[in-house]
Amino acid sequence: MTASADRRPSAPRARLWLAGVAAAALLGSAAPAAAERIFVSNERDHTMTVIDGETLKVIETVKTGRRPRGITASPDGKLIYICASDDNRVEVYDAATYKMLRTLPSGPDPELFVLHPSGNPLYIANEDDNMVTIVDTATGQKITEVPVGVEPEGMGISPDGKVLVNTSETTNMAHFISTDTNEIVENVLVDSRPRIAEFRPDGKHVWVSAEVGGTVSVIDPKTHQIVKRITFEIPGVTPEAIQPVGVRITSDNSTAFVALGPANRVAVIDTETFEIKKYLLVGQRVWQLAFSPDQKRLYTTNGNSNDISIIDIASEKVLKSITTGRSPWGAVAVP
Amino acid sequence: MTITQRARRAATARLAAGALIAAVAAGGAAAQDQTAAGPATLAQAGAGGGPKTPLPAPTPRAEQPGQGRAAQGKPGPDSDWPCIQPKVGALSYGQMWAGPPLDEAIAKWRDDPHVADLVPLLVARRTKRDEAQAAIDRFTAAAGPEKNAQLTLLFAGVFSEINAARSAVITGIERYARKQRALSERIKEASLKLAAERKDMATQMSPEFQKKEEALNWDTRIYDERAQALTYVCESPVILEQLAFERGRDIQAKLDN
Repeated sequence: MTASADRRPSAPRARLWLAGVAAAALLGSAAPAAAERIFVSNERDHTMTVIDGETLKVIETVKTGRRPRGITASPDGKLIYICASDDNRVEVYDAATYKMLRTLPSGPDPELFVLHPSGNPLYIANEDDNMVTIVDTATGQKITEVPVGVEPEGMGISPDGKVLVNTSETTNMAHFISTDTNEIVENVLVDSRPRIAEFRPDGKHVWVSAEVGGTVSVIDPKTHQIVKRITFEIPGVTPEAIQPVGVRITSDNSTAFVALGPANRVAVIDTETFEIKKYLLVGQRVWQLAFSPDQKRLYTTNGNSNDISIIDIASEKVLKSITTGRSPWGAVAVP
Repeated sequence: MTITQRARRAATARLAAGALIAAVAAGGAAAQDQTAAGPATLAQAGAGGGPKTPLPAPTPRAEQPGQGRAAQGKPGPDSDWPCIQPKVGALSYGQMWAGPPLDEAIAKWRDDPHVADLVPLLVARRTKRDEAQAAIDRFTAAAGPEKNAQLTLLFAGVFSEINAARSAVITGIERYARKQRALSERIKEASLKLAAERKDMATQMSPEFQKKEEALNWDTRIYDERAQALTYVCESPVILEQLAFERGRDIQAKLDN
């Protein structure tokens, strides 16, 4: 006892030390929050789950408009945009305080959207009225609408922001739209029920997943030709359970990840050879994918197991799962 | 509309029709599902150059996943299936198991007494997740160096049992739907008959008529209550699939890679 008592700092010293700790804490809270946060839209709970990227714990559950689906962040990571599908609007949240700042007009039933790489405008797919709505994020005004195929959903934009690709689930096309003229330049037939369009970060190809067709079409955006149709086969899984939806490609363009819906797997694909390297078992009905800002991890939303899975990209292994609200749909992570 | 405008529109329409034929011919190889392509809209075919492949005329929304396969040679939508959830006949183990192939284990798991003892606890819906995890922990510890093989057998048992229970639930739902359909026919016939008999006040007040009316009211009430219960009944296959997945996840967490 005496030994440990001797090591204790004297009372004045202890006060000094405490003051130092308090000052450090104050400074820490004054600085902007630097930790990564993961935002997940929960379609059936009408909420957004906020997860701390370091502790991997849920830190907040935010009430949103009804049926939140598409979710994305502004390029600076300060704003979170959500499609509130049943409220026919886009909601904009502060990524630090989780407060809703404003709403944007979206047209009916917005499902998915994509931001121009500069952060403005926002391109929104209206599932119910066969339109892509273009909204100025600064003024909150609708710029125009582009008529597309039936049941538009997937939205991808080229890295230079010049080409927008929308997919229509019933027409089974990828519509290539010029962002200069806001008109369709070409329509490409793909397999049944195309869900997502995702450009390689170098703009060389755009990957379009077909949920019912069970394939991914890789399209050259210059020639509008399909250069490869990727098919999937998993031992012990019936072909009809393989329903490709979410697609993400690493910033070095080398690896693509494709979420396979009720197959509960994410395919890891070499973007040069199109060889499927692995099928990672994640959660039930894996839907959308999002990278961590440092691209070390990939998050998957699992709609039927009500959780997200975390994939370590270097080792291509599933690290763990985190419970969210009911039917998690989309995810985005900000620094 | 001026003559020039009309001529221009006609020319655009011809252009669109030509492009459409070319597009359908070209698309045939690439696309698995052809959409019924109608004439292109003027908005699309107009404006200098436009897309080579025009938009087809709007068609009704496509079938949702789970129904669409019917168009590809699989059995058609089942008229006995009353649920919003697509009917998935049997689960496949690859949806919840990334370990070694299970075919042999599915045939043999009952022969192992430890596995056969634990499976009923793990497949019971009342067993809480932490209880199940604790039981799997004990099983893993007891298996020693054989744990990968033992855990594979354990999951094979859990999967087979839940899959069998789920199939029974699906058969039950179909039987339930058939009964409901028969009941609805009966209600329809009885109400038509009663309407025809309802000629005057005297008939309506007769004990015989009132008895029939009461029977009809009861049938209608039973039908309505069963229809409401269907929402819960339809969730059962999904709940069982979630249970199989959760147990699979917990068992795989104990496997050595």
